[in-house]
Amino acid sequence: MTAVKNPIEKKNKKPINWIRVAFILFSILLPWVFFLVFYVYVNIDSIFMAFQTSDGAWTVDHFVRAFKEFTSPDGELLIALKNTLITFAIGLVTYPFKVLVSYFLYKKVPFSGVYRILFFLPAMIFGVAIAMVFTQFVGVYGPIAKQIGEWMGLSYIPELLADSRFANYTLWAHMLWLGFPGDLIIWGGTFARIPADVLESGQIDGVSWLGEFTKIVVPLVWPTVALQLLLSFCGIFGASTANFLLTGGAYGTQTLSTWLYMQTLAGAGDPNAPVFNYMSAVGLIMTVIAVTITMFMRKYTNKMFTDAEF
Amino acid sequence: MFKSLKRKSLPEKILYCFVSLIFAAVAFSYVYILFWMFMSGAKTHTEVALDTFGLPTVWHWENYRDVMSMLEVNGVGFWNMLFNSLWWSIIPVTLSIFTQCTFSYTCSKYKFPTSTWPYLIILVVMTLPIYGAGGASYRLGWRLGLINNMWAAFMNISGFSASYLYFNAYFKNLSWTYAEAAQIDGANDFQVYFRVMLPQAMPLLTALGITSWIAQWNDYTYILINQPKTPTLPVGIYNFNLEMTYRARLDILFAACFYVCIPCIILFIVFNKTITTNVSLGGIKG
Repeated sequence: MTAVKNPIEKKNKKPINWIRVAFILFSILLPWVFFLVFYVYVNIDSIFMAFQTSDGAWTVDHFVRAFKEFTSPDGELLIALKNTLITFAIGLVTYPFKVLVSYFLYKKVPFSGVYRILFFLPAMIFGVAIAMVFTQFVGVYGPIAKQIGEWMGLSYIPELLADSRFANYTLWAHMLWLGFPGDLIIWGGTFARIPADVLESGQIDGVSWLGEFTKIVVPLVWPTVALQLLLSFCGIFGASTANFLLTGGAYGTQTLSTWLYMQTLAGAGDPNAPVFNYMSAVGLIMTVIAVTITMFMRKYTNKMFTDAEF
Repeated sequence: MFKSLKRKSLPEKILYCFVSLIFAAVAFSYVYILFWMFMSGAKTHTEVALDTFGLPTVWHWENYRDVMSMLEVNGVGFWNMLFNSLWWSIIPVTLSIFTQCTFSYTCSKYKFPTSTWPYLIILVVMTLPIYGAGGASYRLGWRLGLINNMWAAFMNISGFSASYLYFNAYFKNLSWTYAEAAQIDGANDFQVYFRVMLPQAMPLLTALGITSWIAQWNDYTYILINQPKTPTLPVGIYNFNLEMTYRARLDILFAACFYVCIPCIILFIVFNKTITTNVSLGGIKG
């Protein structure tokens, strides 16, 4: 890394460079003001709201209600928590496969140049459109629902997105289908930075593709793996399917992040909607748990994390 | 035929071809979404509903013209939605990317109180997500008059985001000698940044700008809650779909969907290389 020769370090003997001061203020003022107002203030206000009614009176009722919802077998939040954790686990299990997809593209499997572009399509096409197309694909007039009905010996064509027996599986299938390519941009850039001579020397030594991947590539890109895993664990409650667009969270498909979004949507139009206070309390509970998980993960992945750089 | 297969053993050649076949199947399914949208946009409503995968008996190209007059939700038509989409994607993304770039340049190249804070704060924010602040955020937006207000696009700026880290890494590795040479020639700090350093960061700026723009163009979550009276195309299409229970026009709906996808796909094809070669995360060991 190039050492920064900083003129300000020699400032003591020089008069203040007002143009420099103006430039620094021009650069940092706006980001700081926006951060303090729209992040710090909002989150502090959210904590206060969790302990208040919509009239501003102090209460812990939201936490009592949230606790009941999290512990009751039919509680919406318990269902949402369960779905969130399963969705997260699916993401975790399929993570190595997503890395492998990028690896094979990097190794230039036949037509990799074409795949490299086409695999970005799910990110290019807006989610609303994909959800509408998918709804038609798995609808009762499509071939998928009919086939599944036949496999299961049903006398009718199942509504895959409107039947609690199938809805979650359908959402997870949708997630796996669209998530197949993984983080192509991140991994494309990361693999491209692996020195070619390292891989060449492995090839000369007769290392197989699996040996190259597991013994050379993975150790080299480990900081990226560690960082991504750490970030995914930190955002564990953000794991979600496209349930908002495909099922509206109905048929037992709710997840925590969609539930929070839908509460905000339900309260939109009234700045003092009681639902805002309740969701703040639920969010606070989730935050406390997520912070605990993060601290735990940081402790055990600290070495990996310090190796990572952007 | 394929250079990558030349020096491979037979089992590896078979493996690569097998992987390529799987990739082809997945890639085909993605392309098929687009084709299906395009095809359904040229069918009649009944054909879309009853013959989901069949080709149109007659290609109704007029649907692609009619969508501009028929796509209307709560008095907001196609052209207004298009304007809203451009407004809510171009302004916040341009301001945010420029702010993040300038902010990270200053913090990485100048030493002053708080210059190291943003990097640490962003790492903490990324690793300690706070949930459930949507209500508080909406309440603040309401108090500041930012709900259903087009000018809120100018307030939708974030300097403390992951993009900061990419710019930070870039500027940390960019030699200061360029700036010194410009300073010797009499350039002040503004001139050094705008004429010497910023142009060098343009590939990264473009890559992050385009990916952010595509995400913003496709986003519906912010507008649905905060700006429902000025719906963008994705929000308009979402609402149009909800309203279709009494005026079913799936053909118009999918024609509109196809229109929305076009700008992102063109942009990505044009800037594909810029995007994929300028963004990386996490570093390499050794």
